[in-house]
Amino acid sequence: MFPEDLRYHEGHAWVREDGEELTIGVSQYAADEMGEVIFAELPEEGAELERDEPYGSIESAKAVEDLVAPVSGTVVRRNEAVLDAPETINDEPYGEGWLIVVRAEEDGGLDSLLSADEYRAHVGAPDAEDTVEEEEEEEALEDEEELGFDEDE
Amino acid sequence: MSDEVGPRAPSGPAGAWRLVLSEPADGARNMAVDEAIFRARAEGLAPPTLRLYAWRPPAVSLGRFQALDERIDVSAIEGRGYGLVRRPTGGRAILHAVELTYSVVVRETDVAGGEALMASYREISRGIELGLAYLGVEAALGSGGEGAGAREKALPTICFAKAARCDLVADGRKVVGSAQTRSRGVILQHGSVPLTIDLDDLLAVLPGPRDRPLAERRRKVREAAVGVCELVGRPVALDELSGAVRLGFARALNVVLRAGELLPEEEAWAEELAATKYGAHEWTEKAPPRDDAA
Repeated sequence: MFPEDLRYHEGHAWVREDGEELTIGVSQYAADEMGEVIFAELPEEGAELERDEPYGSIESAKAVEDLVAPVSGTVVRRNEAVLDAPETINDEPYGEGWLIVVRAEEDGGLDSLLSADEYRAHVGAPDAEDTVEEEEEEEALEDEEELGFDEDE
Repeated sequence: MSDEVGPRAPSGPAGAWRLVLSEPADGARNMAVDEAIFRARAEGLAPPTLRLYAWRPPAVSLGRFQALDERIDVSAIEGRGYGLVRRPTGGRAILHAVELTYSVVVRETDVAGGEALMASYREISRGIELGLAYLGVEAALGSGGEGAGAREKALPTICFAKAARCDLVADGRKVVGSAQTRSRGVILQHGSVPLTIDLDDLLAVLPGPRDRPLAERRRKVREAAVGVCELVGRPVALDELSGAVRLGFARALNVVLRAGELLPEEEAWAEELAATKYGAHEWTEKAPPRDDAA
């Protein structure tokens, strides 16, 4: 649920270091908790991020929540594909569901991010069975959406 | 409901919440007041707050990122003299006509399980659930421990044609539609509790997919949504529902509700937000950012 090679922020972001660039996404814990993501609002290239401050929004089945910046830095690019298919955040939170790539400021807070173990402790990792039930529930809900009142859901 | 929920943080002196009973207002004012309270709670000015209100004139509210497209009939809305406003919360369009609307603004630490989305819905919904129980209505969240039965009958819609897992369902139909927004550790949850649903009126302003026969759309909504009066089996006045909901919140969440007014800061923010945000075309008609970028 929490890859060991990533760092995490209390606001449920994960960070992958790749040289000077940091890829940021939403942890699987948060993605599961939110339920089906139906919309993501992401900053454009060049936008400045401030650690612990909101940098975008995400709308799930029933809530609009802030995306909280895990580090301070500048947005290098954003995941355009996820804007069109936000459910990718649920399906592949650590892969195709990434959100933005940033170039961190020198003291942008990278060093104070959590390890996988620390983040797991922070969220009180749910057991595997709970996760499976949630997924089945989501699928059952999706099956009902056959009428098409909301094609974009 | 079980009592095994996590530790409850103090929500002010002796679990005191403020109760704001607003005069009926238009859509921009109603959304502006909710956001003003949200801001005041974030800044530590306001206590946890339950607000109960109504809409005059009736209005259609859109979800924060919902497209304003042909499934929402703006000319029918205007022709009836109704308002149109975009909410700060997610979800789909609602016609607020004969209904009680509630809003709860709390810090995540004010309610049991507040940090988790569904747990906080469950906790806050207990207030409404118990309030409805006082009127003899047995309602439960759309799913999550209630079995699939309730969900199977619930149909997708413009808000009230589909029950999601955070909506209250009674007799297999949605009776309360709720939505949340969260920022900086503060939750705004508001929701609509219709006393009656006028299907003709609803489908005139929120026609949904017009390629489907009206009779079909009508039947789908009728099967999916219900008002309190129908469930109770007699006319229920707004005041009666409001009283029951207040009592429900106080008992279910074990808080003291103290009637209060908006703070001067909240009044000022509400006026500003009504004028510059919720009453402004730019906000109401804004296309989702992905369309802007195109």
